[in-house]
Amino acid sequence: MTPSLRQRIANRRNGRRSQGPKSLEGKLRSSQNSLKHGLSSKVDVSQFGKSFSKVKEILIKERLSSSIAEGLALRILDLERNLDFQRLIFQRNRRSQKTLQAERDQALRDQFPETDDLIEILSRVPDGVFSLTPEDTREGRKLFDQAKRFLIRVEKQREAREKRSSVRYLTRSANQLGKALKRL
Amino acid sequence: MATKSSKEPSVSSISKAIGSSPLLPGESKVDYEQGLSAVIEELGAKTATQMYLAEKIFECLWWIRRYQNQKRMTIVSDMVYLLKPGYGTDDWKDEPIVLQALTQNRSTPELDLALRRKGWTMEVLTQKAMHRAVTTIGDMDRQIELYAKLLTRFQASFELHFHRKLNTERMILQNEILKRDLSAIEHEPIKALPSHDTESPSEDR
Repeated sequence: MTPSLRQRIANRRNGRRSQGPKSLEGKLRSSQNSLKHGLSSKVDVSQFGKSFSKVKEILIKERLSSSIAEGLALRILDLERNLDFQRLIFQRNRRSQKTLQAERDQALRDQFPETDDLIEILSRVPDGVFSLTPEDTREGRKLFDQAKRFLIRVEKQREAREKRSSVRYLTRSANQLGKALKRL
Repeated sequence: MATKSSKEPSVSSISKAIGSSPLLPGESKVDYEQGLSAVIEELGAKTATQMYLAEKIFECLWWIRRYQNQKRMTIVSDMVYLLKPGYGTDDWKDEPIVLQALTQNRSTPELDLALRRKGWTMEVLTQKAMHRAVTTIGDMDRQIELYAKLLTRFQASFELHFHRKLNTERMILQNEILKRDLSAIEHEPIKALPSHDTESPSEDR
C-alpha cells in the first residue's frame, strides 16, 4: 500500500531530524549514555593502559601460550576492576552521617534550587500578602521535607541496587578466574 | 621470618603490573604487608600466578577484617548518638571524649555521667545501639559472608593450581623412574663377574 501524500511529507520531515550519531567518536560517546558502573561490560583493555600487556607478559613467562595468557590476563583485570568498585562503595559508606546528610541536602538544592529560597522569601512576606498564612509556609516546609525524605529513600534504594549488582559481578569475576585457572 | 618479610614487600608481579592499591585511606601498609608475607609463606606460593592467588586470599581476609572493624565502629557511633542529650540534635562537648572511651573500651567520668543521665547501664546502651544498627550490621554480615565465599573459591583455585604443579612434577619423576627401570630390563643381564685376564664387553665396543 503506497503511503498518502501527508504520510510521505511527514516521513521526509522526520527523516531530516537527527537519527543519532554518525561519526565513530559520537557513536562511542553515546554508547556510554546508559553506563552505570560498567561491571557487566567486557573488560576495556585501553582503560588499564599498559597493565594488560604487562600481565600477559608475566603469564607468558610462566610457560602459558599467548592466547591462554591473554584470556587469563583479562579475567585478572576483570576481578581487579570489581575489587576497585567494592573499595569505592566501602569508602562511600564509611563517610559520617553528618557528611552524608550535608551531601544529600546539597544534591537536593542542586535539583530544586528555588525551593529553599522560595520558602525563605515566603516566610519573610508579611501576613495577608498573596493571602499566605504562616500555616501555608509551614505546609510548604512540610511538603519540602516530604520530597527530601522521598529523594533520600530513592537514593538509598539506588545505592542498595548498585551494591547488590556489584556483589554479583564480583562473584562472577572470581568464578571466571577460577575456571580459567582450572583450564590451564 | 618477620624481618625477612619487612625487608621484601611481597607484592606479586601481577599486582605490581596492575598497580592498584588494596588499601584504603587510614589503613596500615605495614600490617597489610606483614600479613600478606605470612600468608604467602604459609601457602608456599612461588610462581606469579600462585603469588597473585595468595594475595587475593589475603585480600579477602583483609576485607573481612575491614568489615568487622566497621561493624564495631557503627555500634560505637550509635552508642554516642544515643548518649547525646536530645538524641543527636544538640552539640555535645563531651562527644569526642566519650567516642574515644567507647572505641578504646574504657570507662571515663564523662561516659559514666552520660550513662547516669540516661539511666542506662553499659549493657542496656550496647543493646539499644545494636538494635538501632541492626540493618547496617546485617548488610555488613552479608558482605563478610561474600568475602568468606570468595576466600574459599580462591583457596580452591590455589590448591588446584599448586597441586597440579606438584602432580606434574611427581608424574615426571615417576616417568623417569619407569624409563630407568625399563632401560634396565632391556639391558642384557651380566652373567658373571669379569676375570682379570678377560676384557669387559664395553671395552670390546
